[in-house]
Amino acid sequence: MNNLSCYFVVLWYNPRAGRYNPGCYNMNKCFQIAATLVAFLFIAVMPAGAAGEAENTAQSAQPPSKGIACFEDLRGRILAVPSSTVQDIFVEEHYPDIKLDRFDTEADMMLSLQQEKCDGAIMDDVICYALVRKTEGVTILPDSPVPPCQMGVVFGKHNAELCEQFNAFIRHLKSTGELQQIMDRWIKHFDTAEMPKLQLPTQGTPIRVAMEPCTEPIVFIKNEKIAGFDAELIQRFAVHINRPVEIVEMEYDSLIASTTTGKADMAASGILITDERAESVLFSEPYYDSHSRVAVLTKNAHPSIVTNADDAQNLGLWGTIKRSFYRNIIEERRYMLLWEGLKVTVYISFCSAVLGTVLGALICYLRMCRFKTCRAIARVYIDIMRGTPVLVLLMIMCYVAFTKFENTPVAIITFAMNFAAYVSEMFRTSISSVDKGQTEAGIALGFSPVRTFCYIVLPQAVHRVLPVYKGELISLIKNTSIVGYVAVADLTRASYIIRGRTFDPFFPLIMVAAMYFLIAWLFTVVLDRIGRKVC
Amino acid sequence: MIQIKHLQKSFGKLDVLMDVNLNIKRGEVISIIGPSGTGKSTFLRCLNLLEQPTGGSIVIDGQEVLDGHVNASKLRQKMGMVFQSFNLFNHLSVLDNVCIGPVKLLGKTRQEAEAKGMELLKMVGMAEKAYAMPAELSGGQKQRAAIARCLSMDPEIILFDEPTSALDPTMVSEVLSVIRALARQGMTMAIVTHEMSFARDVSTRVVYMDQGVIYEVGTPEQIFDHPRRELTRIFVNRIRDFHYCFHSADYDRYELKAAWQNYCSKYFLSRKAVSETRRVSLSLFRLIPLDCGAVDMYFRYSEKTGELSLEVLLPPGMESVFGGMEHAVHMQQIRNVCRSIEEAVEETEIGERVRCRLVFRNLNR
Repeated sequence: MNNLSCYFVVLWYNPRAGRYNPGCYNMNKCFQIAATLVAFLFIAVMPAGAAGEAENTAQSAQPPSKGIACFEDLRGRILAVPSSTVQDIFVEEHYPDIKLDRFDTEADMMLSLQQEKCDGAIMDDVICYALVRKTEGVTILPDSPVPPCQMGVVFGKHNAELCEQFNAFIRHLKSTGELQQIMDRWIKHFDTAEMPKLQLPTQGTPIRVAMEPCTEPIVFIKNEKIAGFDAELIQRFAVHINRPVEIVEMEYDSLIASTTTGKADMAASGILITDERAESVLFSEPYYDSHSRVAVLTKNAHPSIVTNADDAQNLGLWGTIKRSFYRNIIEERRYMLLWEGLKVTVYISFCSAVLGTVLGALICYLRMCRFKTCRAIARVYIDIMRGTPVLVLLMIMCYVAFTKFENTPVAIITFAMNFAAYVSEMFRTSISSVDKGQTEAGIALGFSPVRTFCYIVLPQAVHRVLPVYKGELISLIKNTSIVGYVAVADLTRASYIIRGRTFDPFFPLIMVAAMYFLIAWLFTVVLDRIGRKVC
Repeated sequence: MIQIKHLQKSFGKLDVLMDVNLNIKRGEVISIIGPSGTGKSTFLRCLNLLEQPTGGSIVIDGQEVLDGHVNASKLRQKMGMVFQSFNLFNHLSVLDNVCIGPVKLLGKTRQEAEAKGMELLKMVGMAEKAYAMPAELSGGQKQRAAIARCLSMDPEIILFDEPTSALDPTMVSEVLSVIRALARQGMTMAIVTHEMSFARDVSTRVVYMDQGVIYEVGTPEQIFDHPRRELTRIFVNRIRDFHYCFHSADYDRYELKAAWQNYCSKYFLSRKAVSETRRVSLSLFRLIPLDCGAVDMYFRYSEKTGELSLEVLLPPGMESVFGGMEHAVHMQQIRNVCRSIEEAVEETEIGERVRCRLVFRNLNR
């Protein structure tokens, strides 16, 4: 562009002179003007597009005038689906006019339905029945276009032997009719269903089972213990082959991958058998036929399909808050979940902070070194760490780089590496901000360069860096909340689990936010103490 | 005590010090003066190795300092430095500033250091502010505290790098008194300064640095009252030159007038001075034929004495200006305004030239 030195003449109308004036413009300038115009158009169009999008959404969230009676009535509306599931893929392919909202858990989908952010929520039938029974004002549509699927347990392709053992076990249960009993107990009478009192073996190599205990009645946390029909099946299987069982909790999306990477021997959380999945993993014999069901709000549904009577209690605001508090925190000792999560969060934050600060100091030293290569290495490190989102980095470290290690130490290292990149730049800025005259005076007095740095530059630099360092530390503590994605049970994940049982976002989230605030505040107090000692 | 031979310092392509030779004896107070950018501060900083010289030798108490084996920190503990920007340690109180050297470097106990520190602060008049932080002090107080900090290390020589340049006149005298007191106690000092009267008062020797070398050195009387060399004289008398070269009688009189007015307004010459000098120069140039070669005209104004003088260098071959009687009227005019008129023959690169010098009476009233 710089070499285009041709000119062209433009005529523009000068109102004052009442005639056209010739203007001679350089090509470069023209390109600049054109580029500016294009950018301007883009910026102007974007909000218009967003507004249009919002209008679209607003439009389809209006309830249909005659009420939803079947799945076809959902055309042109918003449907909540669990992401990357059979329902997701089917609806997207066969009903392109339905707008899909993808969620991680069915509980979140119900919440969205209740808040009228979507018109319907489609999920596996067992989950649907359980959720609808617990929620007020929700009705199930009688039909569902998604063909029925079968539930199976996932094994890594290298674990064929274990898979066969499980298949034998399932066949045994089917022949004795026990399988049907177990399923009935959990699906039909799930309010009263309890886990069987089994003598779980303790000797031998444990089978590691990956599960996401967030879905009633498949697998969930009840009274601080794991419960649900998948959980029961797994425990009975463990007794059957006389091996202890170790449950590895993780996100639903990571369940299947964990069997191939070797983080778990098997995965079970109501996973549906599909051809696509069967390409990469081994499925056991199916143990349940699952249909899909769609839940809609009763007030949006056609009266002909409403079968359950609603008796909404009116408790008033204070009553609602008290009940919410009881259900979320006290019931089943859920506060213990929060307490365990808190310990994990504090542990990860502290270790990452310490490791990150040390690493940051090292990177800062490299960045200010007199050798060009050291400086280059440091700059590359900082740029990469600052340019990658922490979540992506965490996933890479846990699932690509250090697959054989426990996730918690890997998470600590990841957070420390990210923290170090930001913190090293802060240190560098604070050190360079100390007036050069201070160093000169120290050297002229007779201090060696190292002692000048320690006694004269460092106290002043620390004093300057402390406010921003505090901010970055708080950021780190909050960043650790993503660690739930790699199956570390921290504070945010605890609130997730509770929310999954109670569909009440208020108390779990508020409590967790308060706890993060508390942790951050404690760290700052400690830091202030240390800061005052140094300077 | 310190022998400096052929000291050289260049920053990349820029040669700041070219060939500096000086001997400093114990008990001497050396003032280093000179125009800005001639390397005075660089020279001082080379002495205590804050800058690494690129050539030459410095011998301190018989030990060669530039051979690379010397312990620079130990050396600097014996040489104190006072900076133009004070450079007190901002995170320590004044007393801590004074004590940090002895405690951390000389291994004294905190009590010893504090006792000596308070004594030194009393000496510089800062005892009351011993527990104040540097940010709370005025410039003069900071500089005096810096001097006390230097003294706490018992140095053999103190280097002052423009100690009062960043201070306003009221504070300058505070600091100068302290330095004077130190000189009276016999401390060896090397001071880079722009305070001429102070340098004259307190030094045993004055060094004028210019063009990267020590241009002239001598006692204060020699340098300030009877400078021998040209540049020294110009600097000491703060002479400001105005030069114009006439090539023919058809010179651009408007250009000359504008340049001259610029020069006068720059140095605040009175309107009387401007008009009188113009009249005299016009008269003079009626006497001098301008077509016989290049005529150089110099106006010299000394900011120190207020003396204004006009010098004209005639082209080679032309004889004296003030010859025949027909020039009598102009001569009278000139004599009315000028205090003295001199003529001398000077040897230049292009031959013998006559230099005519007119010194004006006091025109600045």
